[in-house]
Amino acid sequence: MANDLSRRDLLKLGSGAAAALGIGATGLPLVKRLSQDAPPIDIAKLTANKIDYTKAKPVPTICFGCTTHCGVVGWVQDGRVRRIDGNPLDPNSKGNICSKAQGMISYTYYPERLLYPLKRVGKRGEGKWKRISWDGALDEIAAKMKPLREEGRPEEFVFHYGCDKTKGYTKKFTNAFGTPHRLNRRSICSSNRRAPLMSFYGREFEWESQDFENTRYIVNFGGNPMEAYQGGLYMMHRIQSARVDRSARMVTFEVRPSATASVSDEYFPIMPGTDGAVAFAMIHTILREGLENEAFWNRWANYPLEEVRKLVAEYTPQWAEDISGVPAADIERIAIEFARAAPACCTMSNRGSAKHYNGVQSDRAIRMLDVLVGNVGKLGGFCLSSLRGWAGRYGQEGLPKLSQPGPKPSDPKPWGLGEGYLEEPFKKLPEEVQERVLGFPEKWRKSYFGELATPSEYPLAWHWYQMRVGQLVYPYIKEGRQKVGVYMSFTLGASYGYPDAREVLLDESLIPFHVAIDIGYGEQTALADIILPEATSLERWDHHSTNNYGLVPYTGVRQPLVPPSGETRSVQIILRDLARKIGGGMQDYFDFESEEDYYREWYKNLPVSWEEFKRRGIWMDPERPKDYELYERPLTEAELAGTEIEENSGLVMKDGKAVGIMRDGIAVRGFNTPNKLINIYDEIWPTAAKAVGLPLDDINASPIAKWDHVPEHRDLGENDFIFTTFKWNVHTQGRSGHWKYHAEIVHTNPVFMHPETGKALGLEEGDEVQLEVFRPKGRTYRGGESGVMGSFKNHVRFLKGMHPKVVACSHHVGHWEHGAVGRSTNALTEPAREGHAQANDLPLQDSDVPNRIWWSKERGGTGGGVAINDALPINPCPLVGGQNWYDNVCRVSKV
Amino acid sequence: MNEHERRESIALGGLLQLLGRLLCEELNPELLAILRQPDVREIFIGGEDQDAACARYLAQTWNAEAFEKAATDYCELFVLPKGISPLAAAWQTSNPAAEQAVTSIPKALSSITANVALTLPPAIDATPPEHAGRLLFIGGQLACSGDPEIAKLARPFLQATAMPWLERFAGTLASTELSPFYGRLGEILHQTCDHYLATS
Repeated sequence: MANDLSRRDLLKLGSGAAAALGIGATGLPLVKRLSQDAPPIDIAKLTANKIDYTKAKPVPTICFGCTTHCGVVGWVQDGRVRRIDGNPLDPNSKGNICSKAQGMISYTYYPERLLYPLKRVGKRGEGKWKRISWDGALDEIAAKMKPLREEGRPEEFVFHYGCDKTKGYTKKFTNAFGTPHRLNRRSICSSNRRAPLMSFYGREFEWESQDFENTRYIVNFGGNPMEAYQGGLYMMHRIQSARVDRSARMVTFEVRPSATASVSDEYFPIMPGTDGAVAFAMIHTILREGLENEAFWNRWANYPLEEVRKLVAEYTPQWAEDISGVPAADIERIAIEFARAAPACCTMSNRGSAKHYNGVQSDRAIRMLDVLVGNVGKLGGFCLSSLRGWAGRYGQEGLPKLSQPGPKPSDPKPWGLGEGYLEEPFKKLPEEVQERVLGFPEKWRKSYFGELATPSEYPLAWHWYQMRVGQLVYPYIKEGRQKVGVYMSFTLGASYGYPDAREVLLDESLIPFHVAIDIGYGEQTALADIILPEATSLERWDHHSTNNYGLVPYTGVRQPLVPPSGETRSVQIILRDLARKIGGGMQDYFDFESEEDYYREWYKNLPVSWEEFKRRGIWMDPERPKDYELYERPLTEAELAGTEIEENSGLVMKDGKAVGIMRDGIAVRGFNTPNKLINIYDEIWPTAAKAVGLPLDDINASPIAKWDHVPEHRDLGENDFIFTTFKWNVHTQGRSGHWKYHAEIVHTNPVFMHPETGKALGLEEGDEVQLEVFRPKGRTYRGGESGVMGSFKNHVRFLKGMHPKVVACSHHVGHWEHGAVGRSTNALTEPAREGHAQANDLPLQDSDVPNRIWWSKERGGTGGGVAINDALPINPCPLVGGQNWYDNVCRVSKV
Repeated sequence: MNEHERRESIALGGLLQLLGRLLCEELNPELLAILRQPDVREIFIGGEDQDAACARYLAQTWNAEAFEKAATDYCELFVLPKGISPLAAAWQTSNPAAEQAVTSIPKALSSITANVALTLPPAIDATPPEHAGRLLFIGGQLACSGDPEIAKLARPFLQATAMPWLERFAGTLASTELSPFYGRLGEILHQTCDHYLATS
């Protein structure tokens, strides 16, 4: 660096600058003391850096580190959030938090955060941007969106979110605009496990709330609350207390020694995709031993027990051992122990069992176990508690109604032909799609909104509500199933995580205009045309509601601890202001100035003052009984008024709708299903199969849970392995790669395998391997196509406890955008990744950073891991559309 | 404060305010006019190594294209994550005093603003508290105060809040090859730190 400036030079520069800035030689007192009586400012005293709890202010809010949303308290000192603790008033988390809570501080204050609206300069994806004012950005976006609405093409506005916890606020915007395209990523996550629950128990119970506080026995099929599970923290502190304090037992079937498997009392490595076999064998055993709760089954199941006996006659423990690898004797013992603990027993399952071609049916079998032993809704059993916002839904009697203030725009009209349908967008669909939809039952036709929101090949992705099939959005746009005018992504990392996304996002003929709303400059925002910087969860409001594993509904509020940094804004303000720019009546739905006032109105029916609610962060009625046996609640006199009993079914009918069911002469609420029963048998599956041409012998078409192999697992060769992905417990999807605290804990993603597997492959620990992943074989997107979908190279780690046929790798890391932490590099730039957007050309090296990014490859560390998502095929499960993550077959070779 | 000290304080204040604005705003006609002031220009393009590149840069025809290029350069350097963040972050430097500095910023700013009426232009006001440009500008405003007690706060304020990490930032900026202008800015900032803001 040139050292050519003397003190005199600097003074000369400064004098010139002062003159040019109008400060002048007279030293006008531009900066005045506010009060002559104010004490002198002693800068030295200001530099103490420890948090002073006598001065710091505790502000409760809701964590947004992951999808569990624990109640937390942030300590704010001198306008900065210094620490996050758990909120002991949260009845779900009870003051517990995990490391991801501190991630909120990490992402709020990390120096590479997006702080200003940006507009693309040059080609999309080139990485060149300039700052733009908010008005300029919103004007430009509104100018693109208005014609779509005014010209009757609102469906060409596509809003695509990754994590939206605004509880209906963004839906208000899309409905007000008139588009049905509010897309999500549910199918990437959990739709395969939600569908069986909704089939059994109805729309309101797409997620269960096991009574872990009182249970004595848990059988866990691939669930992993210690690492990643919606509600994971709520579950784990209860599970651990039950195990430690009351000797409850947890048995886990898993393909790898996950954190949950590691704290289980028993862990059995299981062949992927065979959880259903073990569940069926358990059912077989329970029936054989006479341990079923026949009274409960006969009272509430819609399928004769005798038929179940026939169904599972050949599903013996030995049969299950041959398929799964779990010893028959253990399957029998576990089944008996489970049944004998009833009703204080429960199953647990999630992606591990469900994200397979046969996963939906596996979960139906697993759910059947709970019904068989009669633990549903019982103390210590498999319970169902209120999930969603308080709007007088099933089980919400007596709760104050909480709803978004202001007028509510109506839902868009469904697409189709005839009165009550939007014909124009429908007629633009490919003919085969139109034909398929016109053949649907009326209920589905009235819920059909085009291929992006309601893909016609996957009707059970939207039969109960729109879970959608997010991984098909980009292929469908590419195929021309939906024209896009304006595409808006919100906290979405599709470009990092979804195959085909980058190709489509870079193509301006497919996506003419892309607006990205996010807090960090990641792979998705890098491919936008305008970036709108969002306030973080420590800087914004949200309504919070979720199921309580303590079984009493509660609500919470996310409130800002500090103002939004820089020029960031909450998504609520962004969409409000955009609605006002678009006009045409949209503004009427967003008629508020203060966000706090908006949320105050939302909670106005709570029986505590707003100030008190903000002080607590959480509200729950302490006198409300727990949600045990909601289905046995007798109907009240008011509910019975005007009803009729249907003789054959015993249904209590009112205005053509079942409101209850007779049981032993008493009208009770029953379950939240059309027939008020637990639907072990459900015709919806073969109905959907017929509607889309899926052969009825496909396992997914069965009206009753059934066993079949995953197609590509049938003929596994000696050198074929099953590739499974997983989530690190300190990370959340692809969003946390740039969180400094968490990147320090976990920044890599080795390929884990059993040491014997490695030995057979001639590998040693740390060797570099290439994994080639093949296309799926089932009836799925591009199923049956031969060849390799993708491949990646990574290093190997041996782990005893892995199933010998499984190799596992996490999918969080390997970012090529974000800053130094996200990319795990000390160089502030790096060469462009082959095939991706050009990197900028700043050849900088920060002399201090090498000491901080200690895991970088430049420092001899493992580096930031490998991006693997492009190697994984799009593989939606038939009918439901959930991504079959864990079916992938791969080959491993030493590099 | 005698007259010499007062002039020196104003000069320091002017320097800090200019540096602050150049870190917070893209080059625009107003800033270019300041940079064209003889004393300012002479120092900015001073030094044999920088003379040609920086001089050419400032002397180019400033049409819409040039301003857009300047805005893109600014964004690449100071806004995008692969650039050089002007935000204080303790974990971006190995200097342990930086952590102390980072956490002292909010307290220092709230104490200053509780006692002193600052006037921040919109571009400065839009930056977060720990932005180098904001801190420099505020320091500059303090230094230019006619009240000697306030003017004397400028140096300790910046020493407490910015010095432990500002030199790293300046040094990195000085190494950039993206823009001769911002490289020169980095040098000037670095030497400002050396001459005026070092504690010893």
